[in-house]
Amino acid sequence: MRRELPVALAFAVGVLMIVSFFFTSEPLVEAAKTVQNWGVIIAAFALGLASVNLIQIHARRIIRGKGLDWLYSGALIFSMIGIALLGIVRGPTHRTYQFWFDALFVPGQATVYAMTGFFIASAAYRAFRVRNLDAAILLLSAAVLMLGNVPIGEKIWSQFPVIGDWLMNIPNLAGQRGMLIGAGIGGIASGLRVLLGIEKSYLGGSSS
Amino acid sequence: MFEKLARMDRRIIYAVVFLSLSIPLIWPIGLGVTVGPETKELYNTVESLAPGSAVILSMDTSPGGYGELASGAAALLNHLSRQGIRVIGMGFFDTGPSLLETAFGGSDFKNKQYGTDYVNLGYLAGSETAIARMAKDIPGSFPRDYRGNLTPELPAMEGISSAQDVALVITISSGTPGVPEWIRQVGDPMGVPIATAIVAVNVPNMTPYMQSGQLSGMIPSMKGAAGYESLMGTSGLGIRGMDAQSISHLTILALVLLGNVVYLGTKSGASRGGGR
Amino acid sequence: MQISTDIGTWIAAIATIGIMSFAFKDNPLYKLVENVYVGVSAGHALVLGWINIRDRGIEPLTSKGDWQVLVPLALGVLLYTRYSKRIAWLSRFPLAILVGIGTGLAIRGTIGSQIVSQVKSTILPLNSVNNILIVLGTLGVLTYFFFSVEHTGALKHVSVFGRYIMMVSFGAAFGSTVMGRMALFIGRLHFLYANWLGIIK
Repeated sequence: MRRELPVALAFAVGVLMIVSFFFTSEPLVEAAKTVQNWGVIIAAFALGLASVNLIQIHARRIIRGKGLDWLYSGALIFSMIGIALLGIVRGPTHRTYQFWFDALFVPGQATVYAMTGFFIASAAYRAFRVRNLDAAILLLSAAVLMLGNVPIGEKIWSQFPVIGDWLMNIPNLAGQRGMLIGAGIGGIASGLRVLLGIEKSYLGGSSS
Repeated sequence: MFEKLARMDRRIIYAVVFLSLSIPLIWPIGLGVTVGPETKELYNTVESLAPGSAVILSMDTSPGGYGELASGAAALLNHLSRQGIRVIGMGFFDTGPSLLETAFGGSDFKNKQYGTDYVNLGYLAGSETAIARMAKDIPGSFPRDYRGNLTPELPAMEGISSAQDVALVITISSGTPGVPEWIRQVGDPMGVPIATAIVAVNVPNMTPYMQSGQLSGMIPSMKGAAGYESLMGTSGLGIRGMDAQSISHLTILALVLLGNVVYLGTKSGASRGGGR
Repeated sequence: MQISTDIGTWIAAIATIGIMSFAFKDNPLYKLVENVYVGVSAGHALVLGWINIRDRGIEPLTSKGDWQVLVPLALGVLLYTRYSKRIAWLSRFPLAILVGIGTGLAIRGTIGSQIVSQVKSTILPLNSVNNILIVLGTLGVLTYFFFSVEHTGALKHVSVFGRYIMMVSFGAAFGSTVMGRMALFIGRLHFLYANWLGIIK
């Protein structure tokens, strides 16, 4: 029962979403809207799960960690609770809230992402090797497209942007479209497996 | 020598990339800008909007992606402001609405009237479910805006009940939910044109949607932002960044070339793997 | 221009340099900044989650007496039963609803937008090299992923062609990714040089 009932629920809700799209009966559409609203509220609760996990992990690190672990984990929990309290009490558009959002969160995450610029350069040097025809096509396509993407490419040879655009809009389009349609069919198949209860891994845990 | 090069400290590569980006930023070369057809299409779409019409601008990105999209978003907002378009802002990433506040503050909208000319409705949880929910009933999905005002009382929301009441949807996009979700839940079923300013990683995936007409224009990363700025006759980070893009692209290509020379050089001796 | 006197800019600059310093070597400043920003990120999610629950769940209940919102509110609380082994199974109900809605919406949308529209746009007149390439390339990639039939004879050639087409796509993906990564770095450098140090405009 503990597995069958949720599976039945997912099936009912999923079918409602599909059916309400094709039949415009008022009660069906209203029911779909209500259930979607429920989905929004449940998803909002899910946003807190990450915090609970973080508190569990970092509270343990404060107690049992080595070296400066207590400081890092303490800073994490402190900043999390601090910003949460500030946002809940004063609102997320309050000046102080936006200040910390802009001063810590934005530069922190933006720089972490920016660092991947270093890693892609390192990978370009160490891993991008012409070992066979496939790799040669990949490399040639990448090189021409890169030169087509930036103004200096046009200065080197006026045809780089033209060929780059062609590569992007003809062969790349065909490749992407094949993958898009393939992934679409695959997605529908795996979606149906979920709705029909064949695939239950999202329920996790034991089968009790 | 090849063995030595193959074992080169990764930090030397980092330093070279750092310099290839820094030098052109500090001492610009002025290599110019080319405008892509997809950027021109979005520009023309915005140009053709009637003053007073409403546009949804959805900030569907995190600070990580926003670093790449800020210049495009700014150019786009300035254009919408110049055209006298009402912007209905929202976001389906939890970080979206705060970034939207930053974007509005850095654009010409800062001189306009909040609540009348533009609004920030905030974040709706639930990814694609949330987009579908919003599409049918905007004020019902956002009873209050991000600043805490009652949404139905905002003049900007006059005549807006569903996504069908806006002339265009623009998603500032760096992941999921993004363009495919907007097309699935709003563009195709409701017939609302969808456009995007999007991170470069996702640009190749967008070509099928551009060719099929499901996407009505795109600002691809910094290249698109530079193009949009030049169409607007302004100069922002898009244009200023393109010199650094040029030099860093050449640097990466040189690294690929050198890597392959080293590979071929070492292959003749004991064959060496790719490594990290 | 001159160096910034704004405290927020300074904090952001220290955060930026702290994260960048990881490229040289893992160090305490990097670890501290990383942890603080992850904390702020999680705290921000909590705030936005709370606002969604307040505006769409609690307010309709308290001000309009909309009793049906008690269902999602209760289901939302059930998500947290996962932390107790004994009653963790209860968290499957809200999960089932989320998965059911998401899957249903994705299926119905995918059929139209990702399959029908894309197939329709591939039905092109074969009167130019480009159109022929688009049609053959798309068919080639689909053939490559079609495992139900052994790829021999003509089918093998089509599938190999599909693989080459995909290599062009992967090359395009790499080329675009470089642009994206560099754009991100330029954004940070511009912040440091213009907003913080004031050495450029």
